[in-house]
Amino acid sequence: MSVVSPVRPVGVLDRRMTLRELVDQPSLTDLCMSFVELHRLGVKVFDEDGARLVDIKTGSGDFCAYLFTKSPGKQRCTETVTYLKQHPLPVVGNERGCEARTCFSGTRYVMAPIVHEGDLLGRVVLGPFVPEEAGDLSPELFELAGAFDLERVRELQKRIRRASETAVRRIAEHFGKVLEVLLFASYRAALTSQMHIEAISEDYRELQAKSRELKESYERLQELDRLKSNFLATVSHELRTPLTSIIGYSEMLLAGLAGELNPEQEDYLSTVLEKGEGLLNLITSLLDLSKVESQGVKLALKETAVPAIVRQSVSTVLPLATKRRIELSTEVDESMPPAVVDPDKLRQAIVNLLSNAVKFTPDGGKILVRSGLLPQAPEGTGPFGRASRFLVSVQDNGIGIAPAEQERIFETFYQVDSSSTRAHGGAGLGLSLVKSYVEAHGGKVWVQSRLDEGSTFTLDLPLETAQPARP
Amino acid sequence: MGAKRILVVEDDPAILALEERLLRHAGFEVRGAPGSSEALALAAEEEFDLFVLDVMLPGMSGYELARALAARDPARQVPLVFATANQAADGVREGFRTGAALYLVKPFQTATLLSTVRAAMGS
Amino acid sequence: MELNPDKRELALKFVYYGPGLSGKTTNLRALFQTADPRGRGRLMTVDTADDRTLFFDLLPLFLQTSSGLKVKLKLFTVPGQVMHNSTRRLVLAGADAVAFIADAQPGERQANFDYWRNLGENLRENGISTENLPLVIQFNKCDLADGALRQEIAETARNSRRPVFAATAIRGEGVKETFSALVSLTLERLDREHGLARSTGLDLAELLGSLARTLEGSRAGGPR
Repeated sequence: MSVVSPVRPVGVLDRRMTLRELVDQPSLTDLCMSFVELHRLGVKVFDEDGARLVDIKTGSGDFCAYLFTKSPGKQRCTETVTYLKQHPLPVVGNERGCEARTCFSGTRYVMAPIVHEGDLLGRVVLGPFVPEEAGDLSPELFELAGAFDLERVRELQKRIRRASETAVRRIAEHFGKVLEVLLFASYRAALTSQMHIEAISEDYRELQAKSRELKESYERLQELDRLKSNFLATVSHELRTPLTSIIGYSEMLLAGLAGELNPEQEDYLSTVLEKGEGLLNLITSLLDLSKVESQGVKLALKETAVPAIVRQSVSTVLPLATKRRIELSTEVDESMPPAVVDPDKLRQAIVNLLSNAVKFTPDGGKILVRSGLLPQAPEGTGPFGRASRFLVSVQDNGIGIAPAEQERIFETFYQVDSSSTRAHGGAGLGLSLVKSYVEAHGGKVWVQSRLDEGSTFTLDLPLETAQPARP
Repeated sequence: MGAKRILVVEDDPAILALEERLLRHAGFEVRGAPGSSEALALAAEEEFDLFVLDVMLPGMSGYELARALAARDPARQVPLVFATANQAADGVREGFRTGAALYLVKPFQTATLLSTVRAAMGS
Repeated sequence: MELNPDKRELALKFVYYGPGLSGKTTNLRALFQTADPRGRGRLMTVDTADDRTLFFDLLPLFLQTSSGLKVKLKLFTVPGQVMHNSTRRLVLAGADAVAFIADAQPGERQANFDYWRNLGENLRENGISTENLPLVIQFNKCDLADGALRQEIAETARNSRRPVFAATAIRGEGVKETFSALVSLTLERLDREHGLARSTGLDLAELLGSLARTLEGSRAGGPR
């Protein structure tokens, strides 16, 4: 049982077409005209409902018109026409039969059904013709003799073709077949062109449904992303509140506000403080990273003295380095021109590199920070021969990084091995942030390293970062 | 001139106690309030030289409280320090535009608390 | 199904479905060539220069019962090429029954499976329940199948709840059997669910007999 999908109207394949839809009426008229000329027989074509599509007379016009002028003639003529239009014609599969009808005037018509795909679509009516076997005027006309001038009728009837009914039936059958071929060709053309249109709109409907789905899933993702950001902001806030007490009270105790501590107590408390600060860094990095991942890095560019930023960064990690007896030295080119960068992001990038260096350098090790213009780099040279890039590097003599790991350490959450997390702390977020910040400036970061000898991380940044085009 | 008087408003009791003690130890005279209504009640009775306000207070936000406090005595502008555990401090700065205010991001180092408070009072 | 009780006409839609080049059009051609010309219309094919079906093929068959009911069977094929999926779906709309023409050649197994699934999807899209849909499976090109596959077809035929036919449509083998079985299933279902025999005075056995005679048509001496 067919259930037509609600989104689509009934397709052309499942719709019955009428004769009018299937034929081009002027072409049909032309075809009929050539038949009329060839056979000297009138041709009428009616559709299923008896509406006339074609009516061509030959020879019979004046004869019929004259008989139609008087009321008995008019009435009987109308009866004939109604019969020709409406009398049921049997259609069994492809089998069809012609039927004849004799008019009161003695002339005769032959009706042939127009069949398409087993359906009766209409009929062809050939005639009138004067049956071969007919003698003088029909008896019915003699009955109406009072109404008509029979001599005139005789004269007019002579203009109508005289033919055998058998011959006209054969012509009707032939005409029916020609018409059916025409209908088949039209039907084929109609179906294919309509199918073409339906297939296109079906494709269009499908595409629209697909793009709607995509849009919805995109919106869902955006919503999820928003929820994730909210969640991270909330979690960060909730974690920072207790950390405020942990760090604050530890500092207060270490400062002796609650009385003198013995060295062991001081040692324990330092560990609490250090771990608390580690946790704080982790939380901060997590939120920064999620911000970077969801919104990209937004730079607040301004003219910045790079040496000052380097010094500030060094002072941030100095207490920890000092405690570990790590020698932290700088080689800063104080004469370099100011750079257009986001000072906060640059500072954070350098601090992250320094924290890393401190973390992976053994007690009593050495860290050297250098900054200055990039010496002689042809592609990095500005239009007037001025250097256009600067470098900041952090060199340590720590444990080093194996060549296979050197690319991957900049990936989010990447740890050289999981034991290093326990030994050195951190969750592998620092370097991926450095990479994001530096790349946002149009710069790059890389590492040169040998196992057990140490590592050098280098930031290569343009002196003037172009303002990113915001859409 | 006597000790400067500071009103600290903070709903987390541990942090409130921490701030009170640190500031007191640094020589300030400190009053603590766990919420907006207590803060407004205290401010109605005493005059203060500085307000240290938590931003995320239950009910009335720190910004709203600051406006309410300022509305009591428009002629006298009491300096403000907002304490917040929101690390996206950029967003926080947009939250309050009227009057001079400094921001203290929690967790803070004890030295930062003191330097921020001193900076806010212009000393 | 389209039933017009006033005109005493019943029209049923059969769709030949399956992967590209599995022989759907060949099935219709074989039916057209052997059917009694008095009981069939013209075979309409809309194909490309390289003989691939572009939109569909259409073959109408006409049956008449002694009770005076005119029954029209419209047989359609779908285009097999993957890109014509929307046309397949359109042709499938309103189908009363489906003949799935699988390709028995070795190496076509995946294509058969893909189109079987595609048939399910497009039936669902058209709101046609696969559960009760009259459906037969034909493995065509059996002359090109290897022994293992022929055995597998026999195995499938034994275990399937759907009738399975082996065919070589190019030689007309298995074509009539496939279609007759499909018509039989369809009439049974329509009678079961809509009381077709009672409401139309239709004698199902008579109609199937009439179909058999029409399909045998030209061999029984009718003009070609």
